[in-house]
Amino acid sequence: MAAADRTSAVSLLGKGFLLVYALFAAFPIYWTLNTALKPLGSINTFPPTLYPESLDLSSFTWVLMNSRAAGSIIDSLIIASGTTVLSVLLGSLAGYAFSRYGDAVGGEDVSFWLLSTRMFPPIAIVLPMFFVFGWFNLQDTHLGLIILYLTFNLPLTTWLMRDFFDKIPYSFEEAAYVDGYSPFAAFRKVVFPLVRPGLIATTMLAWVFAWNEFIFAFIIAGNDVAPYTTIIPTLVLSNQILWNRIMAMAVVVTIPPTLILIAFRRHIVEGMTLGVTEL
Amino acid sequence: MTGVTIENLRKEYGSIVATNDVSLDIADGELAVLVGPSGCGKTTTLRSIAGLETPTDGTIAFGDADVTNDPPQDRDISMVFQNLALYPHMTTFDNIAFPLQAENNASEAEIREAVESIARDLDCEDFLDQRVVELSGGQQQRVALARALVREPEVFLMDEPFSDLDELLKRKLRSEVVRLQHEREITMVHVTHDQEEAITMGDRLVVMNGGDVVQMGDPDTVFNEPAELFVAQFIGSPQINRFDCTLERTSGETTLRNGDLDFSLSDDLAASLDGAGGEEIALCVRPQHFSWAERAPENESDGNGSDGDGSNGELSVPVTVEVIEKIGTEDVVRCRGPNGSEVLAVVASGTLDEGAEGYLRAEGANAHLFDGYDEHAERLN
Repeated sequence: MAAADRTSAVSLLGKGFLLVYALFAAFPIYWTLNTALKPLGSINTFPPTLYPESLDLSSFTWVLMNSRAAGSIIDSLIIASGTTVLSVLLGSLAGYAFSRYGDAVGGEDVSFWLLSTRMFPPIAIVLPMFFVFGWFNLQDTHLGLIILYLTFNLPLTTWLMRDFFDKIPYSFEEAAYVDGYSPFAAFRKVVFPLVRPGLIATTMLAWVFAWNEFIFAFIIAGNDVAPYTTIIPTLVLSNQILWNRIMAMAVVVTIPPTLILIAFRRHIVEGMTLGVTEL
Repeated sequence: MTGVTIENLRKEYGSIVATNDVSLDIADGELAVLVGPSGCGKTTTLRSIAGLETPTDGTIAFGDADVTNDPPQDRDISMVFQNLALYPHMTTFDNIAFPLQAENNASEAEIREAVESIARDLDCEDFLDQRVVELSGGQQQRVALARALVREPEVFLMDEPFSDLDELLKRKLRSEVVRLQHEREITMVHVTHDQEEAITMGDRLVVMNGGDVVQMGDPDTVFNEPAELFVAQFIGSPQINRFDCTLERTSGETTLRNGDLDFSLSDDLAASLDGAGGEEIALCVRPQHFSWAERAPENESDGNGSDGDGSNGELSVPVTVEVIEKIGTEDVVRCRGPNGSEVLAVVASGTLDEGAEGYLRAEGANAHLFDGYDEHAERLN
């Protein structure tokens, strides 16, 4: 009796805590939306209003219609998608090679070196990169940023994919060979379906990194190509800050990753926990 | 179906020699069991037959066709892996059908019929539509066997697939495999470290040790006439009794001395020692061949048995029973011998009590003599 009471009390307390936490976590998102929908003049009023007293959609119109703002989101989409496709493709091949023929391709040392590139503080190489990209005329191009992000994403995708392939016993492929399947067919029929959750999680991580990157975009980008992350600082003017446009931009650029996350949430959780199905 | 011939197979991994010089000949329709301790090269030999390993040296032929350099896809084989290698993303049906879909020349209906037929044979019908990860260990084992048997390959290979199963299931599946193998006259190569499994299943045992084949023969021959000391000690349960003796020949009588213990040998056995390389002889007697006696054998009081029969060829060891292990209708008795050594015997259940003193006797014909004490010591008699 007392035990049952205690259990339900604990569960109630837990739910209460979760509710408070959910409100706490959701508040910034709510405030972003709230601010984006207010006219600029009523943003800095005190006390702040919890909802826009007069609805103003002009900042959203600006984000979606202004060629610089909308163009920057398209630039970001091109760069993030381009670098993701390349890094996942190359990273999967490299990860497979490391997993299956690790010793033949340098083994642990090389794969650790790959990972160690992620430990390097990126800010330290921003300036040299600026000059190197200048020599190759890669500044202010989509390709330039795609290649640059590849250097950060490829080690990550290689490392992750190696882990996912490691989870699939080599005997699965051998069994397929014995049954008459070519290496390519064995990969397609046996390995690929099993590695798919990991592949999706890896794709997601690579894409999000490129989508959110700011420092290198700021240095390498210019007038022709400007990812959205470089547009937001320009909304901080000398005499005022265009909070409504900043917030509207934030709302719009949160939509693509959110949609992707919702669409693949089951695979992503599976992949993140490295539980590549039940082997 | 076809036979398999391996000649001088050698496989090195860097500086490690997995198989040294393996030659063997498996007849068409025969069930050969490669048996030996871990690291003896049995799995490497099997994988070489499958084409999953490329030999460093030597040849492998299926019938008359040399397949040494053929990839596994081009060899007509099927194999059950130690971890079964069932595909977790597929149902039982899809797993079994998998080998049939490698070449797209079988129709849907043909595949269905073949899968259902083998599933009936191996009791897999009830879970054809379930994913294999939902099955029990025994069911997964059946599915793995069904996937391997759904085609009719020339050679069927099994790499210790039963090692993780409980005893009862293991026995059941073993006998099912043997039944199917006989019914279909499959050439089968089975790898195991379990000597009991080897003896119960094999038409022929290939005993391996340290990368070499040490003995090849039917289970009876391997059990009764082990070619090396290693084979005598590896095959048979409980383990064979071994007495490390020194050879003494006096006035026409041949004696093997093991500390305080003397074994006078019959003329037949004594003659077999002529080929011995030295004084060191290992005498082995299987526990099953010992029988219990309350009193010392009579020939000892007879004095010299100088007739042609030597000391009538019987060996006897005075012992004290220490531990009795019941194994059903028989007991394994662990005794303490005269030199503190442990001597094992198998007797009818309930005949002995702990602490009993007496003699373990065996006929000379059941003694195994080996030329030396190391595991490569060759059989003399």
